[in-house]
Amino acid sequence: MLELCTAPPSAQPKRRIVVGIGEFAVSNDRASVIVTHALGSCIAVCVWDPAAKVAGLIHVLLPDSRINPARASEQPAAFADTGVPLLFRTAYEYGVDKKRCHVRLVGGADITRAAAGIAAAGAGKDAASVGKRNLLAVRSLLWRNGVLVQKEAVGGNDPRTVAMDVSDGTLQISSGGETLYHL
Amino acid sequence: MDTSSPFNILIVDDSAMMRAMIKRAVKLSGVEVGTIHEAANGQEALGVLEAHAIAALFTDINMPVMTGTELLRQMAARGWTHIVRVIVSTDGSEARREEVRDLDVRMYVEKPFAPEAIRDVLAEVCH
Amino acid sequence: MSSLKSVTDAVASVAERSFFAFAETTDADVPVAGDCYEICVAFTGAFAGVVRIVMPIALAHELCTAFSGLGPDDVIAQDSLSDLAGEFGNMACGTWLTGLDEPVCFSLTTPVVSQRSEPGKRAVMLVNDQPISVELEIER
Repeated sequence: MLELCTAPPSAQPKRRIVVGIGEFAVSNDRASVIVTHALGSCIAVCVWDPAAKVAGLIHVLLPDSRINPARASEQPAAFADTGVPLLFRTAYEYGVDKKRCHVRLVGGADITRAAAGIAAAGAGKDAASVGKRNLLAVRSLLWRNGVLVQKEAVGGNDPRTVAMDVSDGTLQISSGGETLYHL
Repeated sequence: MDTSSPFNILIVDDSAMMRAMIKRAVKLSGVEVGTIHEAANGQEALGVLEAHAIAALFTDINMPVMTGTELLRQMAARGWTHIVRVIVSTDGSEARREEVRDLDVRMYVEKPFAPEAIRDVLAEVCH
Repeated sequence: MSSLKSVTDAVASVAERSFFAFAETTDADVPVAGDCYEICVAFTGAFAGVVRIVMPIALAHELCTAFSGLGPDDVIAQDSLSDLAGEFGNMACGTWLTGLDEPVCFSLTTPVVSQRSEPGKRAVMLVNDQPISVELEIER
């Protein structure tokens, strides 16, 4: 599933489309890279249609919009149940076909240990579970909508950054400034 | 493998819901398959295998009437070596794997499994 | 590791992997209340016994929709719900026994699923934040 390798340096620097927490982007600009940082407990759902040459990425913060409907209406991409369908609907407008999609998941870490340096307890216990809850919510949603995950880099204790090259859909995943692998 | 014939599949499990889930995962896998047959136990499965051309079998182990292990033994006794055999079972113990070692099992999927596991098996057996 | 902890670990593994449900153990004094399913899976092999899980029918419905890929408003037939509750118990028991890796093969009976109202059980786990009880009886 994971391929350790070094990507050759690009001849031209790519335009960076930065996706923040609770945001998403879809692009068919082959000169661009969609980037999102600080994927701790959050999940990035990365969608790539090799025929349409369209890439989409969402940075999901929480699993279920019912916990904060007001925020969900203002920022649907913050929640898995409102954001992921929005990502796909937008991608369809770019010519993406769900059946052709390569879907990859990144994130869903338990970062409480890294942050606190001690075992989570009490309120920290809830924080420790968010990463897993996000992952389960996204997987459930994708399965319900007939989408299988191609690859994933999830769990663990460290936050990640992911950069998706719109020209070919490859993901570069890094943590602590170090490139870990490509999917 | 004969690529000109449809790749028909038989799913054997005493849980109808499990059979439905595996069937859905097969259909979403992106692998071109023919007819997907179902059976609730090994005895029913033998009936399907006798009546239809099946390319691959996904079978549970613990089932009433006839277990998956006995089904595989019956298939071996009949010389049905052309059918790809995949076990999908909650029993992944070394003792069980040893029991089926000589029964031409191509792959072993342990329950619980994510739907992607079925896609990965099909990609492997259809390669 | 106590036997019950290894069983609850197996329940969590099943809940998460095939049912996309968040599962955790709890020591809060929470009853498993209302209309419930009691799922009994008997096993034989290196030793014999029963794993018994009691869960609210509402949770069984959630697990069923998640497993099957149905929507939350989809209607599920009673026998399908019962089938899947049994399969949940079957997988939990089998996963636990597989983890023990005994040298003798184990066998599981077809799960027996019955409806219980106010079963009088205390939760040992929360699955999707709903209480379930898990019991293990080993024949001596």
